[in-house]
Amino acid sequence: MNRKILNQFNHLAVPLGLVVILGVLAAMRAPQTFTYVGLAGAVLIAAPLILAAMAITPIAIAGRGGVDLSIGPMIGFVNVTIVVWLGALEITNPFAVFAFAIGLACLWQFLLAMIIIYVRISPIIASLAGYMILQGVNLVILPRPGGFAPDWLGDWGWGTELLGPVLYILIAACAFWFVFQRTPMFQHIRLMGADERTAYTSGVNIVAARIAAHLVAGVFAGLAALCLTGMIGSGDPSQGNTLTLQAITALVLGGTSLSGGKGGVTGSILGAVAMYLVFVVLSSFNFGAISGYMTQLSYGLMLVLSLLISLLTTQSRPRTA
Amino acid sequence: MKNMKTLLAALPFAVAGFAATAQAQSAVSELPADTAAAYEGVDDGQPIGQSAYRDWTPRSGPPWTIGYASSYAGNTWRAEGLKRLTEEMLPVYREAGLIDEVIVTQSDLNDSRQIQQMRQLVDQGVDAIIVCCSNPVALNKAVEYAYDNGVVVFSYSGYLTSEKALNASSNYTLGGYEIAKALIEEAGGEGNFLLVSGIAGAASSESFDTGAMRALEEFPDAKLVGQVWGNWTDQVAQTEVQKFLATNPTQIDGIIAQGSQETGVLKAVLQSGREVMPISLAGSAGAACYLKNHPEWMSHAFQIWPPGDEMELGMNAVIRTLQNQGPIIQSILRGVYRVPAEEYVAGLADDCSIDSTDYIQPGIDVWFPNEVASTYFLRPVDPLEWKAE
Repeated sequence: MNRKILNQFNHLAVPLGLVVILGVLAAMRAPQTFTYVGLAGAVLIAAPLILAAMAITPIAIAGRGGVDLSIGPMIGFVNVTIVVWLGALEITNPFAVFAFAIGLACLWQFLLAMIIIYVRISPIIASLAGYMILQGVNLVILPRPGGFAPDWLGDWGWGTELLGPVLYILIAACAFWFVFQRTPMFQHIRLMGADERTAYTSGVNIVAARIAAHLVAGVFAGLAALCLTGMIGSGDPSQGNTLTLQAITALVLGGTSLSGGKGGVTGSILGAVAMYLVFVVLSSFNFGAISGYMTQLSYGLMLVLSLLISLLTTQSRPRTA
Repeated sequence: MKNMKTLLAALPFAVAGFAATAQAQSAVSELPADTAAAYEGVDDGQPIGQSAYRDWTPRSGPPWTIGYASSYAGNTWRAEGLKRLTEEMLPVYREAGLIDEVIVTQSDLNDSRQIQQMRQLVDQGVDAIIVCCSNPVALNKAVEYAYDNGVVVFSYSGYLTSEKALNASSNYTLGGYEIAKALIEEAGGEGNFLLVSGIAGAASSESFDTGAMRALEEFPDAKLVGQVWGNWTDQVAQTEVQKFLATNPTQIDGIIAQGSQETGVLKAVLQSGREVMPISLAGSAGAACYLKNHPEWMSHAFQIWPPGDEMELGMNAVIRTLQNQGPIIQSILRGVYRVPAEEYVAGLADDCSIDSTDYIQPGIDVWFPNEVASTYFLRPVDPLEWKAE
């Protein structure tokens, strides 16, 4: 039984090890990261990536190579619409803004799910098209960075209080996943991701399962957009785009299989935290003009090494007679 | 659909509202008349109120530690600016005992990384932070964090809207207007024009375009037939213009181009086999070389963002602020610098190449001399001759 439980968490060993090593390095190179204010800043800055990585996790688990490339521009879409549309309509009520952000993100994910299910386009192609469409739409809505978030949301950007809305959102998102993980629907999604045909013949409603995976993604993406808007206190038509590749990197670092059926948000969170820590460690060195490339290089190396280690540690040994 | 149009239509009013706030307490009237002229047609979002650093002293030093939180390093313009900072300015300031170190970070156009880097630089103990070309609002909270910890944040070649930030650059809206106007006049005041912008969504790129559109409106027979984005990178601009020319058989009478990409634009035109039409020139040595070999092509060029000189403008302003010289206004803006073609190419060698990635720069002593810089401060002194009290 114990071995079975341990096997379930096998995929977390590498990202967890990575977080520990990078955490120690960060503590040595940039000790201020672990002060109260430092941690408050870390939560603020890492939250959009953590939530974006959480958002693409259920879609990846649902299989068919479901990597949601549109996640970044979609978060950007919610960001610019909060600032421009809700700003123009003078809607600043927190409940309305939360409902709008989560509703809009869920609506987009629902559309994606419909295209994937009924038009039968590969998820990666559908989301790539979505990436390009939203990239353009965001620039039409807000041609240049600017505008202001509602005051209460903009105040999140101070990042000097650890026990604040951003941390509570992260906790709420984790709690939501904890509950969702225990529903039959999650098991259906996993089964569908592992083998869609078997799931179908076993009586799993695969249409409902795929829609559910996308709607859960929509909830996390809406929260990510709120955290991004709070952090930058404004609208930025291109800022979300950068989140796509980062979120996918965090997802893979976290051990979620891109072929579906395996993984979970704990790994994605650890992957995102590892990426944040890499950045903290690298920023503590003075690499001059190449510091941007050093970050990309480190992400790439970390990804390859993590995958190699995962492969070596999880490879099944040949049975002896 | 109607609702969508209403929402989109509301945007200019929202932006105007932000602008009205930014412009509310203009400090331009406190500047000498010649200096104030540089603020003509300034971008509505650019803050031009009184600076928060009129009587401010840093938490320590000299020597000071400066953080440079750059947002991008992937083009020759950025590389040239960084080279001026680290290879030319830093040794001089070190020798003068004013700076001990410049810590450079890059965020690859990612706001969250730039915010993290700025906070980390503050925590590491820098005395001032220079940022370049960022979202004008996104960094504001990080600026306040720096200010609360006794660190001044200076944005060069772009602006931040925070009251606690200082900015130094050219007036890009005026630059866009003057460059477009001059190009349309060079093309005879009429015809079809292509606009090659910088990065879609980047503030300084949009400022330039706003000015260029203003100029186009003044010429009823000048028609804008297309817009492409060259990302201020020759290779990107070349590809985008090639695509445009290949898919649009329309005659193009002139190309209004933002700086740092005109060599790529020129190469695309040459490859298309079309006769080379007037193209805006703003400092790229490759296109300037073509001008040297074809003096009949263009009569003028502009210098609104010479990379090294603009970096020096920003850095000098940082040092003056650290020396408690008291910047008068939130944004130190330089006017438009137009230069005749002969003068522009005078420094180029006879065997220059159109493939050159260098820049022609007037030099800070010409482009933004000390005596001009002094007019933006309450207690001006040459930074290198300043003595700590």
